[in-house]
Amino acid sequence: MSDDKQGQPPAKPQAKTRIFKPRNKLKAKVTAGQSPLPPGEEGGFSRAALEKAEAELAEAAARYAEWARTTLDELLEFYREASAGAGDVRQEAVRKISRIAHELRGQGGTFGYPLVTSFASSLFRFTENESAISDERLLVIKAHCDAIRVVLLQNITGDGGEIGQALVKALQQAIAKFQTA
Amino acid sequence: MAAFRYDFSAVSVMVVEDNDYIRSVLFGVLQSLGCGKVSKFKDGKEAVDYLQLMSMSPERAGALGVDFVITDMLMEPVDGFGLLKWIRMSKDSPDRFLPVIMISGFVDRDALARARDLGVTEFLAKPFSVSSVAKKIEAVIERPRPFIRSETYFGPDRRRTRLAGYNGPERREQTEADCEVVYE
Repeated sequence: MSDDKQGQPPAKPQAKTRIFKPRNKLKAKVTAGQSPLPPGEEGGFSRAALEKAEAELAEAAARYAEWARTTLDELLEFYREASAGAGDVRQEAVRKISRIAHELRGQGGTFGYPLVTSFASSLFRFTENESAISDERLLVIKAHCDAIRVVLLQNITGDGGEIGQALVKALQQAIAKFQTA
Repeated sequence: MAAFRYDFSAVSVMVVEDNDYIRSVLFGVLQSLGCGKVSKFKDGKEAVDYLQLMSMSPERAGALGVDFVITDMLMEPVDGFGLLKWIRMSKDSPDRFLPVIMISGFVDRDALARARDLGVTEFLAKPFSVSSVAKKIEAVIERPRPFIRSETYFGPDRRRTRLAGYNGPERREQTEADCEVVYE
C-alpha cells in the first residue's frame, strides 16, 4: 500500500448511472396557494383560459392568409432564381424553397388551411436531399408553388371543396407525369 | 391524487421560434393561457445568450428566470437541438433540468430519436392546436420523469412506461455500485 493512501477509506467506485429526482418546481409554482379541487373535478388549465387561447388562435388564423402572402412572394422569387440559374445557384434556390415548404407545412393545418400543409409537405419531399435539379423536376416544383398560391390568394380553407379537389388532382398529375417521364 | 387548477401568473416561458408569425401566435396563446411572462427569441443562439446571462447573474435570477422552454427545431445559426444540448450539457447552463418542449413540423423518426437522445422533455408536432399545446404543458407538470445521467446520456428517463405487471424495484437502482439515486 502506498504511503499517501494510508488511513484513507477505499475510494467508492464511481456509479455508472445516476438517477436524479428533482423537485417539481413548475407544479409547485402553478399550484401555489390553490386548494385541491373536489373529487372528480379535472385539474389543469381553466376552461376560461383555454377558451381565451382558442380565440387568440382563431384571430391569428383569420390573419394567416394575408401574412402568408409575404412567404408566398419569397417562394415564387426563389423559384424564379432556380429556373434562371444552374448548378450551385439553382441548388441554393431550391434549398430555400425546401425551407419555406417546411415552414408552410407546419403552419397550414394550424390556421385552417390543410391544403397548404398537404401541398407544402409534397413540395418538401420533392426538394429535400436533391443535388441535381433537372428542368423537369423544376416544373413539378412550379406546380406545387402554383397550387399553394391559389389556396392562399383565394382563401381556400378546409378541403377546399371542388376547387380544392381539382388542385389536388392537377398536382398529382404533374407528379405522375414527371415520374413516368 | 387531488387535482389542482393551474395559476400560471408567476410562470415565465421562453419561446424560441424563427418564424415571426408562429412566434407571435405562440406568444399570444401562452399569454391567453395565463403565463405571467413570455419571452420571445428568434433562434437558439439568442436563447443561449439569455440563459447564459441568467447563469452569470444569480442575483437577477428571479427577474430573468425561465420555468420552461418551447423551442422550434430548425433554426439558424443555432437550432433547437443545439439549444437543448446546451441546456442539458453546458457547464454554463442555469438549470440542466429545465423542461424543454420541442415543436416542429419535421416529425420523422430520426428527428424524434435525436431530440429524445439529447434530453427533450416533450415533443409537439405542427400543426398545433390550443389543446395540443395545453396537453404538453400539462404532461410536463403532471408527469415529470426522473433524470438519468449515464456515460452517454443526460436527460429525462427515456423509458416512459413501466413493463406491464412489473412491480419490483427500479432495475437500475438494484446495485449500489452501478447506480446512485440523487434527490435534488
